[in-house]
Amino acid sequence: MFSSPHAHGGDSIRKQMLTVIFALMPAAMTSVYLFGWLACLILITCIVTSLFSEYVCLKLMDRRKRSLLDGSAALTGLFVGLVLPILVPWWVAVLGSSVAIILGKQLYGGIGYNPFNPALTARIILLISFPVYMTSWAIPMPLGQQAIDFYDFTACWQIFFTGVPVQMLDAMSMATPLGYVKTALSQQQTVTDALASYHYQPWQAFVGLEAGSLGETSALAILVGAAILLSRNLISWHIPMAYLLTVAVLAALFNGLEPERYAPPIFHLLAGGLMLCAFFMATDPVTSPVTPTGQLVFGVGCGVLTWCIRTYANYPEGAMFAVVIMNCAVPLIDHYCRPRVYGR
Amino acid sequence: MNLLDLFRAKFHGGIQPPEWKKTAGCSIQPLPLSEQYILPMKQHIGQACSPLVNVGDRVLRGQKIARSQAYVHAPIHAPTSGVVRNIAENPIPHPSGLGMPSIFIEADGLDEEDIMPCYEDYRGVDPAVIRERVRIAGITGLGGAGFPAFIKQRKDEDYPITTVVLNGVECEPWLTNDHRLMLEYGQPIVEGLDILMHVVGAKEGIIAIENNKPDAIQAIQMCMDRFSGQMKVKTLTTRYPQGGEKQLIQVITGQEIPAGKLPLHIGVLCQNVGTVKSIYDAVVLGKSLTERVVTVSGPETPKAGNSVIRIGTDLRFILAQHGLKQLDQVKVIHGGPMMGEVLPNLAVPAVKSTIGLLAFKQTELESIHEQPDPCIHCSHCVQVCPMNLVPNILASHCNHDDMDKAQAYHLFDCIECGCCSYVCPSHIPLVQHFRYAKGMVAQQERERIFAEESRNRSDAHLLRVKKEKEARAARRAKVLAKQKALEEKNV
Repeated sequence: MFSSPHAHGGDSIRKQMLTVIFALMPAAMTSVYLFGWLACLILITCIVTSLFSEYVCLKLMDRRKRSLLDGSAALTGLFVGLVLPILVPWWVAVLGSSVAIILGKQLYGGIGYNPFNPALTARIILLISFPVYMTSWAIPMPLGQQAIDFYDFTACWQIFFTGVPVQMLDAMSMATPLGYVKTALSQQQTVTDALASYHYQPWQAFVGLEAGSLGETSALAILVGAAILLSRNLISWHIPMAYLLTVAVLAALFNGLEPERYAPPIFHLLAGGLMLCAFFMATDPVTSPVTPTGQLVFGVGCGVLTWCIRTYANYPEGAMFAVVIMNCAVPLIDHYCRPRVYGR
Repeated sequence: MNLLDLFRAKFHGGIQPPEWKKTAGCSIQPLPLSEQYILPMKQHIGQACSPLVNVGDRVLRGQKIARSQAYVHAPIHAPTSGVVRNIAENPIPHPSGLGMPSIFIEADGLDEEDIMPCYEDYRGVDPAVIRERVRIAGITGLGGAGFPAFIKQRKDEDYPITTVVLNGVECEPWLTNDHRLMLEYGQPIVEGLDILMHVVGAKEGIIAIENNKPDAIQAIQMCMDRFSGQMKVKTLTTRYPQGGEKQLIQVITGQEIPAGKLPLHIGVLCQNVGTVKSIYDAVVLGKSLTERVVTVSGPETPKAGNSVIRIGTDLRFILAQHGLKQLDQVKVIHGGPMMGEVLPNLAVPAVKSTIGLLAFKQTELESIHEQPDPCIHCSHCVQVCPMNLVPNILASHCNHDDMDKAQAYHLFDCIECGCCSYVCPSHIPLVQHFRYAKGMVAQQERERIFAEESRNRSDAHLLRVKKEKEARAARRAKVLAKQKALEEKNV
């Protein structure tokens, strides 16, 4: 016998996941435009590996098989692909997406139970394990000057499976703005000089004409996806707003005090994985708070950590660490940020 | 749901389910008399009644046939004239399928009525008299909850009621009985509101209607001319569960009812429009509550419509009158789809709280109640909860039988409106978890009290045994001492 309500709005995990995949399409398309066939190969490898790992896990752990087709595994694979640099060999992509599914998700109990964002967990594990592969950034196609034509399928196939010849690596790679500024600072240069010598243009960073992971480069594409998520009520404005504002405010404050040492807010907002993290990773429902106040706290925490790691730590990019660290605090945040109950 | 609506809503959350109000154009039709009526002894919140008639007695329509000595109760009246044939246990419309002592009346077809004195000029009558009339007429809240109406009209010196709010919201999908009542019985409703304002001494009367019923708004406004200045219609944006008392009062007055308090504590009396029409009938026409309007609808009902039914009519008779005779593949919801219950058995009578009967295919209901997936914390339930709870975390505490934590998350503030379950992408039956937990807490409380009483009894027993032992020892010592003294004397 059923008890009320006897009506349902028709939402499902699958619909939500497919919508997020749809919202990621602008970013994925941009990556294909920037890095050609290689981007396609990486994304497809990641998605297929994710689905395969999910299937194996579900089978071994005797879980319900229908989770395989709910879109969550494919989404995780897509996310992993989007946070990888373009020059990774095939086995890094395979390892990354299987780590995301097995270590990041299924070992904790499958969908809904993972405390950390699976894609970011995978990226952190890869970054720590294979720092060289994870920090070699290719020059995007539209900027020209690359040694290999990414729009040539056979060339991409070769790079993907046999790796980049070492002598060519220098010719086809460039630093990300974040990495460049970090190195310059460690060599006692000022931020302003570093940005000038990098020929940093905010509009280029905004549309995505710079080095970076597949899906992170173009803030524009991510904002289009974010608009889709917001309009479908799949994310609320709380986390991204709090996150980005916190980074911007911190950056503006310190940049105002000491422009030689601290990068300006627009640089921080458009650089690295911040946009992707703010709209797609930090808002991952499973690993973020459910209460509005909690979401604000979570966003502020992510912002502070991102800025601090970028500014003071050894790694040039801190967004992924920030989100994963804040993931730990989610149960606590939710407990203390409960909304005021009606009449209480 | 989109963001704009969230800002517009005056209570937190809520949803906008499809309305399905296909019976909105069906005028209220009287149902023919049935042969037999069955009246359960409890159709309200409060104490059950006990019969005042015996088997074989002839009763008239409107004659009181059961009452209770308790304060919170509503007497029960015969729905038509006839003979009491039996007084026995009979199932009631409840998901448990449990029974309740009931009076069986065989109708004689004459439908002779027993009418009480009419107070046509009610403004000149003492409020206490009217309140007593509402009590005697057996009127309960007809919006579904079934709380005795006279209790709300209590005059409290500390909490004077300033505003009477009539609930014409009818936010549940499918149901249209209140809508039709407002269209066809605007005058009785408006005068009923005036009666209530007179009884509690309120200065302001508001009839709240959602903007999906523009014709009802117009009809009520036409009837209000005579009372302009004191009464008004408040048009609300359509949103479920706006018809919930707490939400409606929040929307109308902007105030929340403090937890554990009643509307009267913020000076408001809230009644359903159907209840008010019955109050008018009782006061002005002298009629007891023996009939009500029911929406009979749902995808499986061939002749959906709104009917006036006598309380105690067999549900199968009502459904048959609407063309639904094959009942084996059909499940009937008693009430609305959001808060009503599926009946395991249709051989039950309609009661005072029967607001609607909705027939669905069994397979259709099963597809709605899909096998749940794990919670993905999408926070949609938090966004829609009108009580501002955190349903997903609360449900997880309930699911783990952690009742202390569940209560810390304000389990008992849940009004079971079902918004959280409605939006859940994982199809988690959240409301079901809450109901289960509420039952468990009540059970634990009963067990705790029982254990405490047992312990007290056992402690008292031990104390008594100990005292007796001491007394015995004292007596023995006394005897021994006496013996010793005697022996010493003898020596």
